[in-house]
Formats: sequence, C-alpha cells, structure tokens
Amino acid sequence: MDVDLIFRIAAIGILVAVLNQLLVRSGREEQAMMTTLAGLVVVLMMMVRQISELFQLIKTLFGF
Amino acid sequence: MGQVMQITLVCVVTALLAAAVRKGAPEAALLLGLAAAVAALLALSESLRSLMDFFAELTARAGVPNELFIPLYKTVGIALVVKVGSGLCKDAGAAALASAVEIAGAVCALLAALPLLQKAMDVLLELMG
Repeated sequence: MDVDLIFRIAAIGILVAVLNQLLVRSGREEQAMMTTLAGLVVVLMMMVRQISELFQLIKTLFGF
Repeated sequence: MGQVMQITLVCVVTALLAAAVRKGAPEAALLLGLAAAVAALLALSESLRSLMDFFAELTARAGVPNELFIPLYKTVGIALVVKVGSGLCKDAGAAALASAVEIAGAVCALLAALPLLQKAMDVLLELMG
C-alpha cells in the first residue's frame, strides 16, 4: 500500500500550516495565501497519478 | 484478513493526521482523506481482481452469457467511485455536491443497466405476444 504518499501529504500539510501561521503573524497575508495554494497544487500533482491509476483499475476491472 | 486490518489502520491513522492538520490547513486534511481512500482502494485491487476472476469463471461454468453480467459489474464500479466521491464532498462540507455526485451515480448506473432492462422488456413483450 502507498502509505508513504499519505505521510508525505501529512508532512506537507503540517509544513504549510506552520508556514501559514508564521506568515500571517508577521503580517504577510497574501504570501500566506500563496503558500497555501502552492502546497495544495504540489499535493494535487502528487495525487493525480494515483487517482488516474485507480480509475484505470476500476475501468479494467469492471469492464467499462 | 490481514488486508482489512492494514486498511483499517491506515484509514484510522490518516483520520488522526487529518484531524491534526485540519486546524492549520483544512484543504490538506481533505487531500489526506482523498490520498488514503485512493491508497486503500488500490491496495484492494489484487483481492478484487481474484474475486472478479472467480465470478467470471462461475458465469462461464453456469453457461450464462457474460454480457448479462457486465452491467452488474459496471454498476458495482460506479457505486464504488460514487460512494467515495460523495463521502469526500461531504467531508469538505459540500453536501450539495455530494448529492449531485450521488444523483450522477444513480443515473449512470441506470444507464449501465439499460441493456439488461431492454432485454427484460423484450422477453416480457415476447411473452405477451
């Protein structure tokens, strides 16, 4: 099972949360927003392949 | 048996991680849920494949044409995807989107079962003369 991916995403989430807090506290709200967005995009890029693999599996398995 | 324990553990640990992350970055918590769901379903692929092989053998031995069972398999696949997808939408707090996903799943499942319904209707019409 791809447990590594889950932990990686959790780590990115924690990192983004901490950075977000730091940037918000220092008064740079828009940079905090950018950080959040960047984290989101990075994680989504990591997940796209897995999701497509899952859909491919379901397609082949259930005869679509 | 080991697999179900494994998947349960992974899902519970992911839920814990998501709860930890949710306060700081709610979208990361959601992505975490999505990742765990995908990983769990991908981990199930081998078991699912052997199950489907068994069903294929069963239908082949029973002499039932395989195309009668294809709509059934398709419906199961649609249900799998829709259940997880609507659950994720609900997790994100978008109940309306979850309902839309469920309705789309119902429509597509009916569409997949349409050949079967057509055949049943044909048999019925034949019986009625």
